[in-house]
Amino acid sequence: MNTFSKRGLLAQVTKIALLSLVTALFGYMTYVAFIANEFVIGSVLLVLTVLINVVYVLPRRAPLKFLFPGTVLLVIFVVSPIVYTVVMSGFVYKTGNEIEKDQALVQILETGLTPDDSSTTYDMVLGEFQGRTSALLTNQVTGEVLLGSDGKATALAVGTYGLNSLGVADSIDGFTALTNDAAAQKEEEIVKLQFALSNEQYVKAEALDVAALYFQSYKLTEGNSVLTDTINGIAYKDNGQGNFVTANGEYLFPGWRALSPLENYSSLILNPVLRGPFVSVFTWTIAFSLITVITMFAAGLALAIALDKKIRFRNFYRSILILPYAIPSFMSILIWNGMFNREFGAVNQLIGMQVDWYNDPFLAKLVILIVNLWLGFPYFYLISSGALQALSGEIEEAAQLDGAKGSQIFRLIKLPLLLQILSPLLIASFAFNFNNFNIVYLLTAGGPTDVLAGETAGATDILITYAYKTAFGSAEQNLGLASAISVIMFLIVGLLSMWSLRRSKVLEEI
Amino acid sequence: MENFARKVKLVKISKRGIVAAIATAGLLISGVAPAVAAPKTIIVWADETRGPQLKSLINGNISIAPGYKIIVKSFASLTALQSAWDKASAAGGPDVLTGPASFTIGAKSGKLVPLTYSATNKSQLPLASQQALSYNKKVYGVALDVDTTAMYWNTKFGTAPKTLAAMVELYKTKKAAGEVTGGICAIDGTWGSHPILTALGGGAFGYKGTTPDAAKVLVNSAAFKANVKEYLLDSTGKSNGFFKWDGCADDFKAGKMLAANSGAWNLDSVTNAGVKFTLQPVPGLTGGAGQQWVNYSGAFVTAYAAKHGVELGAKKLVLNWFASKAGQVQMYAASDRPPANVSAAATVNAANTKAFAKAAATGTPQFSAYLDNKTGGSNWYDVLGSVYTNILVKGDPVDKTLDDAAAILKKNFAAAATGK
Repeated sequence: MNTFSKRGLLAQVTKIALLSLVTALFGYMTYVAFIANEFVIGSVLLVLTVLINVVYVLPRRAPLKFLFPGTVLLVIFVVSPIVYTVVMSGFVYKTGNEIEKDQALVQILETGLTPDDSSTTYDMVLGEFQGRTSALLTNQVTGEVLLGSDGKATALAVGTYGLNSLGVADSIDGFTALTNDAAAQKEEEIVKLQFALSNEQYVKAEALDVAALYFQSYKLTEGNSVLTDTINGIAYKDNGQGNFVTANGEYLFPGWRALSPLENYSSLILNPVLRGPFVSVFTWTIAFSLITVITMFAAGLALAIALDKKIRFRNFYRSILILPYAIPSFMSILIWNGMFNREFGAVNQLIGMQVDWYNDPFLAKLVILIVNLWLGFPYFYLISSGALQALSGEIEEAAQLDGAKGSQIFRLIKLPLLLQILSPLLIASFAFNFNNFNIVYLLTAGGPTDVLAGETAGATDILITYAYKTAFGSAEQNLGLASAISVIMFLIVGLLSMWSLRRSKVLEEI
Repeated sequence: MENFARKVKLVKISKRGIVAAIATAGLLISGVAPAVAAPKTIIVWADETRGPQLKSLINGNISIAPGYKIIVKSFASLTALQSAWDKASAAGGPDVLTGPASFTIGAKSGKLVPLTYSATNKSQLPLASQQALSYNKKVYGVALDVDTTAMYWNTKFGTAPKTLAAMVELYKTKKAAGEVTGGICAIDGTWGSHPILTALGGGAFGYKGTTPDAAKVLVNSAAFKANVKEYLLDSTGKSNGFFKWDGCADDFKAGKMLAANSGAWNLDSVTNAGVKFTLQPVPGLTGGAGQQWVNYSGAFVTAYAAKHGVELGAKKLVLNWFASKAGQVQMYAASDRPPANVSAAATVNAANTKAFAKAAATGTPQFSAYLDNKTGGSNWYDVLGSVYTNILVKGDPVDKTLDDAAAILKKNFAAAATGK
């Protein structure tokens, strides 16, 4: 009884210690998230911290204690990315349209700041004057001194200010200069200071010790939906797609992430520049997945049948056949990549020709199918071998007694039974190859792409490599469109997985 | 009843646990939470070569931008830096970014803030560098060093010919004798092939003064079409093997090619391969020189600097140190990269650096906004890659191939000219 109590006490202490650590860790992350203005992440972490304590401190809810970590991880690493991708697919979200509209307006107005014709600059000494953050400004060319305070720049008469050893005004009555450290701590305030020299021109800090004379050439009107460049009179209007655009179609950047729920999806269908590549990539993805599964299954099954009979060195052959499966696939792919090289590849040396495997669309596809067959047949050999051994020998004997030939037994009895057993795995394999990024990207990088023929996707690109290239493939990125493609892929693979699960009756058995 | 009492007891213990957990959490948070009044830091991002160099020069410095402490973060590679910068839109980012001029495209997405050059900056930084680091007529960075190429000529084949035409003839002779497999290798791919392209009468775009002329696409000029047929193809219309741009570096380093065009970044690997070489611009077809892209690495102030409250400090660091003669002399001593600041460049005495600087003098500014634009379907580099593949590998007709390329580039350049 004493031992039990001690154990119970130890468990409680350990539990409290672990919970305290987890709470402290999550509490710290919550704190950091909030001070970084990441309110959504901070709120989620806060809720999570509370939930952890509720679930593990209070008694009962034993099943939930086991399910909780998995559920949380599922939500964070599976559900959240899916939801985020779906949401992003509804935005114009690409290079030039990455930030929020209010941030974009700040950036645009900053680009509208135009130095005066003489690029007038001032040496600046920051300080406090009449309770306000102010500045003594010394014109770097003329030596004229201004006092910048309360939004105005006022010229000071010679003799009313003191100069430092560099000839920069640093003192007037009532002015207390800030140290560099103090000024740096107030940067958010200083960066917003503007001292008007006239109706249109004002002095603005460029550094903590330098300021320059600017005027704002952009003016926002009509509820921030029209922006006018006052220098040349050009008006830009909000096009509803995340940009200010002139009547002539000239864009002003940066733009912003604009909500347009169906834009990316409809452009895949309606925009000929995107439709053509998307359709060809989609078609090849289906073909690639189907051919891959069929060839791998056929090869694996053939070998399984061959080695189902008792022959000499059978175990040795079985071991050899599994080797391609045991080697990391990316290594195999890179080795095959070199073997198909036109100049020095082993394949061309063996056949004594200079076949350009990677620059011909058909041959590049063939290379991918061959290499994927090499990588995948051992798996199908293993599962076919197991399935064959699971088939009852009595069925085969009965068929033989009825006079069936070997080929008939295989075609009409064994194969249908095997397909029934293996179909969920075949469907799963189809879904896996549908997203088989490595084989395509490491072998051909999706190419060849004849851009001169208007191709924007490679001949061997599958949807996932196409989405990756769309998102990250060049300096001009389109994350919204890539998200839309990803959502389409998710739907296809998700439906296939559901079909697969139903076929295997996993759900019913649960 | 006893069970109930046990449960109640457990609940009581658990409540104490809650208190203990909260107390521990409070203690831990108070102990490890960042101090509110911590000194302001300026975070500088750099790649794996510039990063360590900058760390040795300015990491922890508090005098360059008084009031701020400079922290340099080094990435494992330029690719890693680019990747982190791409993701910086969602997860914050650096205050100062260093890297190739292609980073200027960040201005299009509002990730960079425009800079106002001082009179000293304007006089010491080349106009071409200001153009290369500009977007939509605003300058967003200061040039750190010159990224350009020169021709490495393998001296075992004698002295470098004065013209490209003579190089082609020499190549044919050496090829017939089985001494070489190729003439000139553009080690850095389509980007590095530009001087060969221009020596043959091609190019990307013409100029109106100092800015690109979007209407003047040069890749299908009559001269280029004729010269490709005469100098790069044999009598059957297939590549004569003189020019290579893909996977030819090993052949050059093995002494199987006459020359290679590349930047200072390949000096060590070529030297270590045992190749004796001279450096000069790629010669023009009958005289003069080809025009290599002259690009610049830059330092940029990001929009995050404003978010972090260090924009003014970051501008001070960029405009007063990175752009300055003193800063660039120090960076050159640490890196051997040719300084962009003309006053700093004047102090350089190393022969190879001077050779690259000399080659840069014949170059042309690289306008990334034009070259990266892909409104026509693909950007300049991909279009050129297809041009080379289709003509030199597949044997497609020269005129049609170049016209197709020009049609795409015309759309790209027109869009770039409107800022799209």
